[in-house]
Amino acid sequence: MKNENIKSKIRVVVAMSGGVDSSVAAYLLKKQGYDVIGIFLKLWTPPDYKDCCNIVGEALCGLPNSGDHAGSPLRTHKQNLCCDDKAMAVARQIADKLKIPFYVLKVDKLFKEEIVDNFISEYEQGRTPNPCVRCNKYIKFGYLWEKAKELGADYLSTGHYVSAKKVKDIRYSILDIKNQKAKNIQYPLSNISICRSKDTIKDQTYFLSSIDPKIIPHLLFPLGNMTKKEVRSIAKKAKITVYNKKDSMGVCFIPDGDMDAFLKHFSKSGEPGSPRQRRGDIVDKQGNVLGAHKGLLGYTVGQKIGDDQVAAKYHKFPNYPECNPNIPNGKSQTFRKEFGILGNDLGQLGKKNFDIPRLYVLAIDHKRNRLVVGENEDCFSKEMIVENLNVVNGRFWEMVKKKKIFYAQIRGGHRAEKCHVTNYPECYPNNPNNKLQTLRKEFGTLGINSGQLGIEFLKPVRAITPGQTVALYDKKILIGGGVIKK
Amino acid sequence: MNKKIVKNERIYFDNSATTPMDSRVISEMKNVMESDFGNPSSIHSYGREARGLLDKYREVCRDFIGADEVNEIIFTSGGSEADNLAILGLVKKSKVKKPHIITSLIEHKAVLETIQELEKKELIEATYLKVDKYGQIDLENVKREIRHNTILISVMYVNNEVGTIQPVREIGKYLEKINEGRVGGGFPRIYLHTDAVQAFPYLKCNVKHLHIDMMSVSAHKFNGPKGTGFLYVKEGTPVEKIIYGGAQEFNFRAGTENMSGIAGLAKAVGILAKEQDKEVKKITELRDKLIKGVLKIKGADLTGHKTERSPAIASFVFSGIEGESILINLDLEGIAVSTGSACSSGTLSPSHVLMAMGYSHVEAQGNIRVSLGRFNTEAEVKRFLDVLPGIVERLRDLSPLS
Repeated sequence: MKNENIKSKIRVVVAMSGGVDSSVAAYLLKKQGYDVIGIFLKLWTPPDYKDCCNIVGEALCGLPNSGDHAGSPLRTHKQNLCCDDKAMAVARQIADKLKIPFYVLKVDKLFKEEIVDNFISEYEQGRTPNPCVRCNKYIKFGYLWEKAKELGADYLSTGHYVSAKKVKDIRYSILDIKNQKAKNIQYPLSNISICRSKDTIKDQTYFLSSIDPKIIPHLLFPLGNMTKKEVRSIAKKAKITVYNKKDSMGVCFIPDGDMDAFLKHFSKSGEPGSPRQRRGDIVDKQGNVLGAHKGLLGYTVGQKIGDDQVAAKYHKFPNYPECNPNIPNGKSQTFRKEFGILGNDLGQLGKKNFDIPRLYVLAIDHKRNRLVVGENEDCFSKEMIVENLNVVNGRFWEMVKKKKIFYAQIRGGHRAEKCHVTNYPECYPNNPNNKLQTLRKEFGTLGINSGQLGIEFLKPVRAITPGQTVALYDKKILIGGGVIKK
Repeated sequence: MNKKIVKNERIYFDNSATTPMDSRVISEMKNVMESDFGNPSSIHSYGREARGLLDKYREVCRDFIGADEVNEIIFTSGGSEADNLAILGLVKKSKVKKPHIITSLIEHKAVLETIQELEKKELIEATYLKVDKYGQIDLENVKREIRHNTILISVMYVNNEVGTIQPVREIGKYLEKINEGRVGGGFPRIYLHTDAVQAFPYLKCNVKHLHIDMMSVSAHKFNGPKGTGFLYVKEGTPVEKIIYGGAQEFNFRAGTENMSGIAGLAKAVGILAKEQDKEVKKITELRDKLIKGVLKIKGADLTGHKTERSPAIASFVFSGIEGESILINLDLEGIAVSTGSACSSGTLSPSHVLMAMGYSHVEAQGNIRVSLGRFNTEAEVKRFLDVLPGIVERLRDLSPLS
């Protein structure tokens, strides 16, 4: 009871999307006795796609399909838009039920400028962005926290599967407190660290790796020590109607999931005849031409190439065995080698009847408008360069200094791999040649560094993709993040 | 005074959005719902009783606005329908090939959107009058914009966001002067419509005094029920109905009459007839106290005309902070105000009215509107003035701009 009285004076703004997670987060906070305010962020939706949320099934299938997203969840869930009016109505109902004040804030302009435009321009440069990471940085843990402060909030909460833990060991603290006091740094003192959630599959620490570390002490993650299953069961018990709502997937501002059509429509360079949409060569590592692409927009490193003819040429099949009616189903490599030379086929056989080893995108060379492809083994590499390094935990520098092994996750859903820092002249605070020295003195060792960080994995990892976020961990503790340069 | 008790009571300062219902109105409606359920179009006694009541209600409205005939009052579902009927109805019946309509940039969306839609479909030509920094249109501009094919001028009497009174009467008098000549010269007569939804509770809305042909009124803005209003249509004004399915409302509007709603509307009009003068005096005093208090806050500015304004509306801009944040903070304190117009609050679309008045995007975002009503008290104004400065100060402290 006493606890409740104290908490009732602590104001928490919770970002409510109308989904299960944020609804349960709001429910739990309210139950714990906090003074909870629900806020729904109305994000940007593409004007020409306005009615997409209501289009079910086949209606959009006539649009061009790049092949890379075919069969992925992106194309199958048509109603993932978390910011549509229906979701807003659900969020409002839940807030009503919890008897908490609820407000809708429109952030369409900021979202368009910071997230969507960046998303498009990254693809235009042959990189693969993480819009959700950026949204967390600029919108949910940026704009919304500013708003929350205006409403007198002490904390900001979301339904992320992330846990914010007090880690006693001083080494885990965000800042060296003594140092901070000595230098009179106005950084919030805290020993809160962001850690992997209990639900390892749902864990979303990766998506928080770019947020400003200043705000970490002000975050509450009620779902951090729960599994999705537990969350659903709480929702069901609490009669939160969305308890069985599907998980949202894909890019929220591409409601139909057709990234190719979206990019072609909204990219300025996607206009017909512009360089990025020019047909170009598909080449192997040596530069041998294997075929043609229809424009580089939308390709991602590591993505499978669906073109049999390119693969056939790569594997030096002199002819296209798919046409040979004599090939028994599948496993026809040897057969093809023997018979392919006979060629001169008239018939066609369905693609699924055999399997040529697939090719994958190794690099997007937009200077020469070429797509470099190779075999799966070629996608593996050990080294990468990371830029826009964001240190969220003071432990990061300690580990770099002591050349400790840490873990790096290079995309959503990727299992973090062991690595170490190989090169950090620009980032490392003790380097006398470092221009950032002054900046760091002011802000401690945390936050964004404009230098570049070299990272080497202990074992080769697949598809290190420029533009993707990398999240760095000390075991389960998030210590930093950045963007893969190459 | 015990502050805690006052704090627990909510304060409603958003009477331009809607008003709390007067208990006298509720009991009148209840009576009708309980005892007179008949359909006024029926021939039997039930129907005749309902018809009798309807006639009575219509007469109350006619009398209050000084119209000549009862059949000049067309009951509608409210202000938006009245605006739609006036504009669409007149255009539909017009013999002019592509008629021209003059309106202002600061109209309510029910007028603006209707005209824009007709313009988009290339059924009409439209002129949107600019306003000065006080949010007022200029009669000389109106005169200048009149064309040979002009058939309608639609200008609101009181602007809902800033409260500025528009020179409707002057336009009406001017049109009376030129219309004879126009008709004689083979040009179409120009009709004058005014959206008097905000003006009706406080200003004399006598149609003779205003020299108008059509006037929209909504009951819920003066302590009546939602979903009821009327359009005054001066006899002889060529208006075609826009809702089909029956000859009700003198064939201007199909559908069985909303009897309880109309009963509430008429009662609310009846109360105005008796108490308006007293109420205007009281609310004006409250408003002036409120304005005086708010303007003591640094960086606060009153929008709209200093004197020619609605007694109920006080709209402000605060430099360096967002009205939306002020609104939410006030709401968390239990005080209800609004920002921009009620339906367009948000970061991308600041009030079209303030933008038309020349405020910048950023300035317009710092807007809140306080609109008073029948049940507001001096203590409430005092509490508002106690709370607001602290909120503004706190927001300014957080703002990166200051």
